[in-house]
Amino acid sequence: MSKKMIVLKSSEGVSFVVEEAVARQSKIISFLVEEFPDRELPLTNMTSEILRKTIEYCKKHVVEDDGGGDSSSSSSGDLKEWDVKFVAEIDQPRLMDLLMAANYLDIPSLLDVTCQKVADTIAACNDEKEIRATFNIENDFTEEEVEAIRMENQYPI
Amino acid sequence: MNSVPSYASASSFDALFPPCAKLPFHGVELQPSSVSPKNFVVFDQTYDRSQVMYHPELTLRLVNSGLASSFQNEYVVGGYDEDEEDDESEDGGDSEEERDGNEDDESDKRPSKLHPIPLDLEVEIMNILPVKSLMRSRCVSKVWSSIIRSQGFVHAYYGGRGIFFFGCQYRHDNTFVELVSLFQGNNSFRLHEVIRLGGGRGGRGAKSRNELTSPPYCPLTDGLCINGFMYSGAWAPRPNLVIVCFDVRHEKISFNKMPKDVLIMLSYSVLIEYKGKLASIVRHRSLSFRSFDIWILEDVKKGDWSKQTFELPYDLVNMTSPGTNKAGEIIFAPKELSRDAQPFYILYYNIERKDLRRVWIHGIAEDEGFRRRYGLVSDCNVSVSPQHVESIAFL
Repeated sequence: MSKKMIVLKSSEGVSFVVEEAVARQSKIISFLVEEFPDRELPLTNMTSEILRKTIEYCKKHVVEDDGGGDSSSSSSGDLKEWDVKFVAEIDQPRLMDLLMAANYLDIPSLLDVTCQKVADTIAACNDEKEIRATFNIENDFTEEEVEAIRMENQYPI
Repeated sequence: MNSVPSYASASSFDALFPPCAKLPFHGVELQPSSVSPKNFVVFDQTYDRSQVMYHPELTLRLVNSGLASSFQNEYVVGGYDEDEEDDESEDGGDSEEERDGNEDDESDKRPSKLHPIPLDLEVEIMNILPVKSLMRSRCVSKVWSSIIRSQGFVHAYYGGRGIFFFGCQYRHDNTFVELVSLFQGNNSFRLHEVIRLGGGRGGRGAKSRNELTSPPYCPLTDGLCINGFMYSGAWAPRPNLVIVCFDVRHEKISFNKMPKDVLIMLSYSVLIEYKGKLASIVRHRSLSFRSFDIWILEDVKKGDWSKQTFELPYDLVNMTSPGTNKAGEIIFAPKELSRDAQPFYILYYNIERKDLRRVWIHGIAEDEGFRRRYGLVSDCNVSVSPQHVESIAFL
């Protein structure tokens, strides 16, 4: 029994052949597959590296419903552990790319995992300067404004 | 397999999806406008609506790439030559061809002024931040600060966690007591914090804070303070509807059973104080009603309730009862300010005489300019404080 394969093309024009069930975890791809069967799907805003990572995630999370006890269906505890490891290995710029890929392709579970990782990163920062540096955010506050917010943050109790 | 060239695909996708539907943004309006500068995309986010404005020439780029990644596209596509895009695909299991050299310097090309997280994702992420990080994050940038301060965000943040205020303050022995309830995620108990605020001169700050647990419940009415007790109608697993009663002096919470018609869900009932006792006004219909029951808790310890039913001479539309006046007449007041200019009435119902008086409060919403003068543009709730007395006594 041969599984249906689909081709995804990254921004560099590199093609990835994946099982349809794997790719269908993306709601966008699932929709496109139905509208454009047997066509290569161009993902012009995703680099090969990010696309490969996304596929790696989807392969791990694919639920095989045609029986056979395939090894890809893991217990939820194992999966969670795997997810944590998966995002832990990714550096900051690529995490942001992966987050946006999950958002763009509409893969809710990957979006949750990446959002959580970004939130953890923010929570691990010691002050707002570190947050700005980590996420490349321009400081558009004056020193006085920051001070005013800090004063607000102090609880009267 | 047929290969669709990536640029041609934009127009074919276009026909299938209206631009809004395709984008991974939720509830965002796209607004092409030729007055927008070509090199800017304007994000305009308010509590209930988000709008993205851009020059029509940018449409193709936005639709093709997904809005979130349109900026990313600028540097990714720019980083590669055209002929590299034409590379043929290889078939076979997950084959891929990588250009590691290019990928490495690509991240360095990211211009520093780019905002790296799309706005809707920033909101998602902040929603799962712990409070401490959230407070700190307000100093990061004006955008972050305004997200965190926005009413919509605050609602979503607390809504998700189920934290709420019992909404009760009680003045007792010259101190204020506030009961704050936190709903714990495991549904097996509810945690409260009792904060006693110091009275007297310069008495800001808490005198004491105690934690208190109770079985889980979900409040259905606002809290009401009467004579040393705070009451709130609530839904609890067993029995279903209860009056949660907090004894301020002893800091104890108890669930009081009651006849099943005292508290009706869907806001038919409202708790008021009636001659020093807890009472529930149960409207027979919610939006417009002509008859109602009043249940009075005659004896707190025994849980005795009395019931009386009253017919009104005409329908009261969208009205609630904020309580009674000094004469013991039940007040009915509108829940919301009308959108059109019309007289604002408050009604008093005298139980003994069974008579309904209508009082016109001048100067509220009676002319077209009223809303404009006070900058009231949308729905406007009305809050009435019965038996309010101005006092010159300091707390």
